[in-house]
Amino acid sequence: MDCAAISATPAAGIAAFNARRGSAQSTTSEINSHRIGIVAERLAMCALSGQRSEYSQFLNLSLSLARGIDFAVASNDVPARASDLPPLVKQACHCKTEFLLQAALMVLMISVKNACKNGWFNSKDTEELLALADEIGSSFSTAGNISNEPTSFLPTVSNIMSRFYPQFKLGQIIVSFEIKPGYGAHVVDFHISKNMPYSPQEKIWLFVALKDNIDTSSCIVNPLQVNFLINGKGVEKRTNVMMDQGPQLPTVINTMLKYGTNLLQAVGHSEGHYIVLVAFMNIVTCSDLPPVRDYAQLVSAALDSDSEIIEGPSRISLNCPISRTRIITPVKGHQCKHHQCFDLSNYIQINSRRPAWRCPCCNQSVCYTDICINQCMVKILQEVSEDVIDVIISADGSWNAATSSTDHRDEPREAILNPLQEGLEQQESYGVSNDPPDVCDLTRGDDDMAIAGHSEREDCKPVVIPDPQILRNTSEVDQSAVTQIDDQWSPTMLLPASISLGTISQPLANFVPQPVLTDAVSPALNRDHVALWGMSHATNSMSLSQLSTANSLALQQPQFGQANLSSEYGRSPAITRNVTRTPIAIQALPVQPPTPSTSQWPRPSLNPSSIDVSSLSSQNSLLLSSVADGSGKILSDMERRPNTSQSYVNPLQVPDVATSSSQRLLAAQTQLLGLPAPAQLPRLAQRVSSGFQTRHPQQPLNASRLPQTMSQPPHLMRPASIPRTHVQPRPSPVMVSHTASSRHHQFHLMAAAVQRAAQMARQPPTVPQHSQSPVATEAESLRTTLCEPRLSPGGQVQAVSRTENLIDLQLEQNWRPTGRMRGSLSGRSYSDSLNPLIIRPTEQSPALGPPISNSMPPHLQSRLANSRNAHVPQTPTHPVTSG
Amino acid sequence: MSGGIARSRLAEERKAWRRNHPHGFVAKPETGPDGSVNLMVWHCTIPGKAGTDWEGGFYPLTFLFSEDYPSKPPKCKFPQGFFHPNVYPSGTVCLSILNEDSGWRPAITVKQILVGIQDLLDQPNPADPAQTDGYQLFIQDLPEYRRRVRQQAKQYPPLV
Repeated sequence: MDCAAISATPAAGIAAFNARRGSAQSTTSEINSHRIGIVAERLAMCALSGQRSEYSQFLNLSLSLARGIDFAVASNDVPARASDLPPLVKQACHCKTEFLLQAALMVLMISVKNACKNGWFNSKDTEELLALADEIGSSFSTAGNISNEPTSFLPTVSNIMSRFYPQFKLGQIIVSFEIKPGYGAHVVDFHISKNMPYSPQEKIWLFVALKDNIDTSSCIVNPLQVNFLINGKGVEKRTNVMMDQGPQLPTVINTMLKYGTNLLQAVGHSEGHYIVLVAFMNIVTCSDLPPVRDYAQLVSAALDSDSEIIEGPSRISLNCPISRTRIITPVKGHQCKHHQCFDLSNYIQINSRRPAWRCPCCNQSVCYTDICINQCMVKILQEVSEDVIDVIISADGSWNAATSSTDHRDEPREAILNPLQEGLEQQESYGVSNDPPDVCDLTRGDDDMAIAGHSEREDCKPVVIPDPQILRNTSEVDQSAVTQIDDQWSPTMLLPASISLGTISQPLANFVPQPVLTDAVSPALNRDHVALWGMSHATNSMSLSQLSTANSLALQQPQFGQANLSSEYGRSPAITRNVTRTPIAIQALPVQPPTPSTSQWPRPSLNPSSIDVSSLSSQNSLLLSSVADGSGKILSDMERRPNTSQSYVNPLQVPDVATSSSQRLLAAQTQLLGLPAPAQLPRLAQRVSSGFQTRHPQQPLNASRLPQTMSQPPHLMRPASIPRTHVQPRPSPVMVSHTASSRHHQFHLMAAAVQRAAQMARQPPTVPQHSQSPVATEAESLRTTLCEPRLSPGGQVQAVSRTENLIDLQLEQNWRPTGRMRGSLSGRSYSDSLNPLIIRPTEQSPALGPPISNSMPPHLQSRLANSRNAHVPQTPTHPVTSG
Repeated sequence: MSGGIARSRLAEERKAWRRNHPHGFVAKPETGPDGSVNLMVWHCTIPGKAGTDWEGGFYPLTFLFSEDYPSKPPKCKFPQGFFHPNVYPSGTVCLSILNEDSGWRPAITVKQILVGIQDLLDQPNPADPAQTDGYQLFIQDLPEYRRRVRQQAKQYPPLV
C-alpha cells in the first residue's frame, strides 16, 4: 500500500466536501461512496496482513473510512457499495485485540454504528456490526446502562424536571445512560444530524441527576468526582477543574457539539446512581409553568394544623424575604412551619438561576411541587393598605397591621433618597441609636458550620496547630510523664502480645472503612498515615516507659534538646496548608502544669482517626510500633533525602545517644519485650529523637543494604524477631535480646499486625499531597512531633496536622468536650462508638504471619527489611514460617 | 432573570438601611468617580462593640455581591491582613451565616450580616480559624492577642 494513496484519501474527502458546494450533490456522494469503498478494501487487507509495520496505515485508513462514513451519514446518503462494507469492517475488527489499534477501531465503529442506524445494511449485518461496536466500545468504557431509549429513566427524569427544573420542557432525548457507584469511565457517542426535528427555541442540554434520592435539590448536584467531557472538552462547571458545588441547572452544550458523531465522557468516581441525559429542552416562561394553585386547598389544611403549633401572635412581613419588596403571590413550602411567605415568581427566579430550592426563610427543601399558595396571606395582602409592611397574625388566624410604634421600619423616612444626603445619614448613624440590632443566631447550626463547602480557593485555612507552649511544656513534664505512663500502662504490658495484636489489628480493620476515611479528600487519607503513626508512637511510648529506668530518664534531656531542634524542621510550611475539613477543635486552652496528668498533651483533637488510634493504642499499648517505628523512620528518611538527613541533627549526638541507649539496654537487660532501642526512649521527645538515633548511625549501612533487603521479601519479618542478637558492637539502636522463642513469635505476629494495619490504612488509593512514599511522610511527621513552626526550613506540608495528631494521642481517652465546639459530635461520638470495638482482648487477628508478609507493600517490606539490617545483620532462620 | 433580583433586592436593602440601621454602622454602595452607584459593591463600617477590646475601632468592610445574590451570600472582606482568627489573610470573613452551604439564607439582610460580623469580632470561633496569626495568639497568648486587638482598634479610628 502506498502512502500516497492513503494520504490522498482524506484529501479526496475534503475535495468532495468542497465540491459539494458547487456541484450537484450526487457527484459528491459518488466520490465519497467511491472513497469509502476503496478505503474499506485497503483497511481489510491491512487487517489481514496484521503486521506491526502497518499499524500506522491501519490507523489512517480507519480514521479515513470513519470520516467517509460520517460524511455520507451526515448528507443522508447510502453509498452504492454499502453492502460491501460489513465483511470488510468485520475483517478489520479482527485487529481489535491489538491494543494500539483499538482507538482507531472504536472511531470507525462509532461511524459504522451510525451507518447502521441509517439503514445502510441488512438487519443481520446491522446486528453483527452493532455487537462488534459494543464490544470494541466496551474496552473504553465501564459497563454502563447506555441506551437511547431511556424508558426506564423517564419517570425519574420527569419527576426531577417537575421538581427542580419546572422552567425546562424536555424534548427529544438524544442519548442517556446511567453512572453506577464506583469508579467508572463512560464513553457514549451520539449522532447529531442536520435533519433532527427540533424547534428553534430548543437547545441541547446535558442533564445529570442522582436518581437515588430526588427529594431535595442535592440530587442535581454534579457528582463531585466525576468529570464530564464532550468531544474531549470539559463541560463547564462539571469537571474537577471548575466544579461548581451545589445544585446545577442542566448545561447547554450546543456550542460544544458538531453535526455528526459526538462523544460524551463521564469519568471518575461516583457515589450513587446518576442519570445522564443529552436532550433537547426549551425554557418556558414563568406564566407557562404548571400551576401551583392545585395546592391551595392543602394550604388551608396545613394552616389548620399549623394553628395547633403556633402560640401567640407572630409578626409577618408582607415583603418577600428574597426581594424585600411586597409579595405578589404569597407562597411557602407545604411543610414550612412559619407564617412568613415569599413571592412565587421571585422564588422561581432565583431557583432558575441557582436551583437550590430551599425556603429562603427556613432553609428547608421546597421544590417546585412543594410550593403552596397561602390563601390566607393572599387575603391579607388584598385587604391591608399599601404602607403596611408587617402584620401580626394571631393563633386563630386573625391579623392586625403592625403599628409603627413598635417598628422603626414603618417610619416614613422613605424621603431620604437623595444621594446628597449620604453624608447626613452617616452622621446620623453616630447619633441616634435605633432599635436593637437584629440578632442573628451565630450559634445556629454549629455542627454544620464547617467550611467544608467553602468555595474560596484563595482563602486557605491554616491548620489548627498544636500549641508551641504545650510542646515546650512536654519537655518539662517529660520525666514525670514517663513515670506516669509507666504506672498507667504497665498492666497492659503484661498482656500476651498475641492478644494485643489481635485487638489492635481488629479495630483497625473496622476503622479503615469508616466513612471519614473513605472520604476521598486527601487530607483524610493523610490522617490515615498520621493515625497509624500515632498509634505506633503511642504504643512506642508505652513500651519505652515500661522499659525506662532512672538511667533512661537521665538520658532524656540531651536527646530531647536535639529532638526539639530537629523536630522544628518541617513545620512552618505546613501552616499555610489548606485546612483539613474534619473538625479539629481546640477545646481547652493550653494547660501546662508540669504534672503527670493528661495535660501533657492538653490539646484534644477531634480528628476521628487520631482519637481512634489513640484509644486503640492507649488501650492495647503494646510494642507493636516499635518495629515498624524505628525501621520505618530509618528507611523513609533515606528515601526522602538520602544525602541531607544528617544536616538537621547534630551528628555529635548520634553516637552518644545511641551508645547510651545500648548501655542502658545492657544495664537494664530488661529483655522483657525485645524492643528496638529507640522504643525505649521515653515520650514524645524521644520518639522524635529515636528516629534520629536509629537513622543516623545506621544511615550508611542501611543505604548500602537497602537494595538487597528490598529484594528479600521472605525475610521481612525478621526485624521483629531480632531476638538472638544482643547489643551490637557498633552504636546502633539494638533490639533488646530475647531468647525465648515464643517471644519471637509474638513479635512476628505483632509486626505482622502493624504491617497489616499499615496496609489497610494505606489502601485508599490517593497519594497524599506529595509523591513521597507514605513511609517518608510518616517519618516526617514523626520528626515534627514536637516541632514548632519557627525554625523549619523545609518541612513538608502535612507536618502540622500530623503533629497535632501525634501530640493528641493519649489525651483523647479522657478528654471530654466542655464547651461549644464545632465537630464535637464527630469527634466524641466517633470515639465513643469505636470504644466497643477497641477492647477485644480475646480476639485474635486471623491471618497474620507469612501470608501477610508476602503481600506486604514494598515500602513496608523495605521498611522492615531495613530495620532488620539495622539490628540483625544476619538471621539465619525465618521465624515466622515456623509460627 | 435573577440578575434583576440581585439588584432590586440590593436597592431594597439600601432603602431599608437608610430608613433604619444600628448605631455606628455604615453601609453604602460604591460610588464611581462619575457618581454612578454600583449596587454590587458596598462599603461598610463596623464599630467595635463597646466594652470590648474592639471598642473605638471602626472597621472597614466591603461586601461583594454576585448576580446570584440573594441565593448566594455576599463575600465580606476586611482590609488585607486584618487581625482576627476568623478572617482570612485576604481579609475575607469566615462566618457560618456567610456560607452558602451552611448558615446562609436569602432572608438574611445586610443589617444582620453586619451585626453578625460585629459579634464575631469579639467572639472569635477558635474551632474554625482562618488565619494563623490571630488564631495562634488567641489560643496561646491571650494577653498578647488582646494587645494586638487594641492596637488594631487604634488603626481604625472613627471616620468623622
